[in-house]
Amino acid sequence: MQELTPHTPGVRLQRLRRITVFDGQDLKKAMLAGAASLEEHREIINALNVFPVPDGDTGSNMFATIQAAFRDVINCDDTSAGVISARLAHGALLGARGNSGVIFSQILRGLAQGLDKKQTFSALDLALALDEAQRLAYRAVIKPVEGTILTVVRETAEAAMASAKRGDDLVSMMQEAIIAARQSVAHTPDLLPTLKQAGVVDAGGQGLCTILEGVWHYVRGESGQVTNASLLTSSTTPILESTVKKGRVKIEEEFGYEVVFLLRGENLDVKGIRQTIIDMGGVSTVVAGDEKMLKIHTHSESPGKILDYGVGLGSLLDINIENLQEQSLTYAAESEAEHAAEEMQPVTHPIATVAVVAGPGFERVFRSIGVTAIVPGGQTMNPSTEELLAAVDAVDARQVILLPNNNNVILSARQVTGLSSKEVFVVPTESMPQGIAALLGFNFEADFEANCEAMAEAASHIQTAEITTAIRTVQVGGVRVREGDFIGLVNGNLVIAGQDIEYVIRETLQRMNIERFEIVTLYFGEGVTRQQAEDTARSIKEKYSHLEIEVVDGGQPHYAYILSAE
Amino acid sequence: MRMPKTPAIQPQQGSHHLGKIEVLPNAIHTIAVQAIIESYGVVGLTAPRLRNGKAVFLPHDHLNQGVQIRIVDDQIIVEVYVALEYGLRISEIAHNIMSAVKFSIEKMLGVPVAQVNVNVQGLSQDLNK
Repeated sequence: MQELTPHTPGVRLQRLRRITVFDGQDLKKAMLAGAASLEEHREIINALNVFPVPDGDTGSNMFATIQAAFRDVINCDDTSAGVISARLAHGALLGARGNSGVIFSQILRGLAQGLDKKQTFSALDLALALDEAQRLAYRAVIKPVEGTILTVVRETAEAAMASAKRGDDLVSMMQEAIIAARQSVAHTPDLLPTLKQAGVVDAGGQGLCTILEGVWHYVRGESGQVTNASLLTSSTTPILESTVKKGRVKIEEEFGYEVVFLLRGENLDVKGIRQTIIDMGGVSTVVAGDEKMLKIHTHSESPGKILDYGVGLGSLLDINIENLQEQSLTYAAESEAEHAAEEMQPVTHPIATVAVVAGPGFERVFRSIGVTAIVPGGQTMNPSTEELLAAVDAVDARQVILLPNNNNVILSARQVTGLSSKEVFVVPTESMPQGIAALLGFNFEADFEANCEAMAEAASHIQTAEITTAIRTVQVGGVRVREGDFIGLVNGNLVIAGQDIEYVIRETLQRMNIERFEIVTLYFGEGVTRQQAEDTARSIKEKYSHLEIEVVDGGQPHYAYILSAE
Repeated sequence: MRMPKTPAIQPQQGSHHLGKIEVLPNAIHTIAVQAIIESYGVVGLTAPRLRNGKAVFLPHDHLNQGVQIRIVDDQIIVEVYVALEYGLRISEIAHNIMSAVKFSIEKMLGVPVAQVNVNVQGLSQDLNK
């Protein structure tokens, strides 16, 4: 990126900056932002599917395709736009899924042809590449259907070309392109009668537009924080408006359950059914299809009533009910914590901390000591680089300290450093207690570098022991373990195995030279009661009377106990 | 046009007391061809037989020859002969063709389609590049 004008905080200008040239890494980041945007909205795009189109879940298919596109790109440091775009196209070709995915892979192929052998590209180069993309996209079908993703890519490319010929830079050109894409999507029902009947816009076109929204946000210098506004551009989908999820969510009664099913019947009245479901209290209702088969998607407090109503009209197929209340509670708690942490931070030192945490108890602990955001995960469920990147991009700070809290997550956390436009430092914490120690070492008043150092230092003083159950019979480092045994690990190394948990805990403590430490924190996991944990703590205290033992509900999966010693 | 001698299909939907409805394979060809030419990635229908080992693109008014219909036990079996765009994921396009053809025929006739066999006879390259 070149020719950045100074960023004015707090002022939302149309023209924050001017960019004349992008290289391959910029292209990669822009497309990653596009993929993130698609991931966020994929369920809504799935819901847009007019049922009688033999292309299942457009949102998921396109997302699978763009994920495949990144397979060889995510770790690629090449700065050549030609190389990056060629790899994107190749990945998409191999992983294309569904009709829209195949078309999207062809669009990427066209872009790659347009950017072939180019190290960097200008607005005009990109416009030419987009033109090539739309030409190739149309080439691969005998009878192109208008009112689909094809129309959207063509009209977007036309707008980009017109803008580039006027001499616009990449920012202005992308703005023109995204406006054209939104309009094009909004017009798809005028071109394709089935869409109009169903009262939706084309799902594939919306998918492409959603990707471009992400790219546009990146180009404009706002990573993450994509609003849903783009998904609601069509006047023909007014019912979708209530699905807008704001950054700060209050728990509202209307979440309830998500109900999705197919309704087969005779002479079904799409509009009437939609209205009835809305009258019954259905939120975010989408009813699409024809008089014989409808796809119904709604959110309701009482899914039973909706299903009863459906049964009265015909037969129900592929019924799927999900509890949104639970999801939204988690989401609300997370966003609350994020905002609370933000408010605690002085505005002049916008450093955020993001931690990978497993277990509700540990989450509470991390929140209570001021972590900005939490990515759920840990042993056996390592979060991906994308999830970490999304969390880093979502926090409202330019500098982010990442606590992986697991040996297996450190590597993917380090990849975030190169992918995010923010300044990211990874404190290589190998366990949650280390993460807690690091977080306690965080100083709001110190600068980024000082904090990184202090946190790494704080983490290094912590010894962690973990008590869990062996899932198979094995011999590691001279310790024989049978399936079902309790095993003790010190800093990730297996030290002892046995049938009796008390014995294993005692031996583990001994091997970590517990005499040298003063404070032990005992985090008990999901299968253990507080009473059991207190008893364990008492028996440790009997043996090592100098220790101060604190018992904390960690709620972690798999590990009965996690102990930290300092 | 030489059509295989196959029994006609009798859609069973609703009650038709006034007479018999028969749909001949010709009509099914047309439905299938429409679905195929709107399938993404298909650049042409081809003759079932190769000429000198090469696929023969069918002219616009003979597209029906790129589709063969067999009716077995009131179920439809469709053979599709196509050329696809080079550089796309062939398996995915073939799946899309299968579901598009099955879907259109079943929607318009209400008769189950047992099989759609896609025969990819060639790939077409962009000659401008």
